[in-house]
Amino acid sequence: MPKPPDSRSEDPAKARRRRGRPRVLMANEPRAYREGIAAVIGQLRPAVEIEIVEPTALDASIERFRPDMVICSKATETLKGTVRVWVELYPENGTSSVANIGGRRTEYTEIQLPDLLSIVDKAGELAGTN
Amino acid sequence: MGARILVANELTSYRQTIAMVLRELYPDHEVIEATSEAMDGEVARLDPDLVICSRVTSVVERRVANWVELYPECKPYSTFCEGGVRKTKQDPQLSDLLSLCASLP
Repeated sequence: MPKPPDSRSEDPAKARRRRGRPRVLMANEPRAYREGIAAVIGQLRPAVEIEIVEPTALDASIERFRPDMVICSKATETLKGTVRVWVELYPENGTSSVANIGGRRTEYTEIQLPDLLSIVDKAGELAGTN
Repeated sequence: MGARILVANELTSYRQTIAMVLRELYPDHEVIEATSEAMDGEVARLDPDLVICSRVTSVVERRVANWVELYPECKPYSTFCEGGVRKTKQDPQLSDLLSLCASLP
């Protein structure tokens, strides 16, 4: 289970990154797939801290959880402005997806699970370099 | 050997995700992936105990005792058919799917 936000006076995001444990926020629809992808990431990338939220809670959860990566169905302005790595997974129920990795956007005509895991790895690398 | 599960839902990453979760949690079950286009043929070839798909077909309805129509046309509900008994669930959870898999022989 995700841990509560760091209460020390030190910048929580910096402290976390030094511990090398990237955070992934899951906010995509529909629910069973959101939970499934989270389960797979948790299984194959056990070092990753994962939080699952409803899409409507995305912006508030970004502020609270300070994720290194977000997977969602609709990228918000808050997301684009604050998170370096995100995936807009099948927006508007289409078959294509968009990934943003440190400002570089990549479109996937049909994204695969290994692509998502690769992006998680890149998010971890970026978090570790900060 | 446990049950044979055919995972044929759209889209690719969703299908791969469900298959991976099932393989991890139910190693005795045989989990096979197929595209929705190949589903009917795979049902005839494999005679699965459970089919997970995005749009149930007459072939699945006729030949498979247990199936899940998961978010048809991206709608926020799913239909679970267990031993011929159908139930519709609004916004189903992964645990709903896992419960059905766990009930298979």
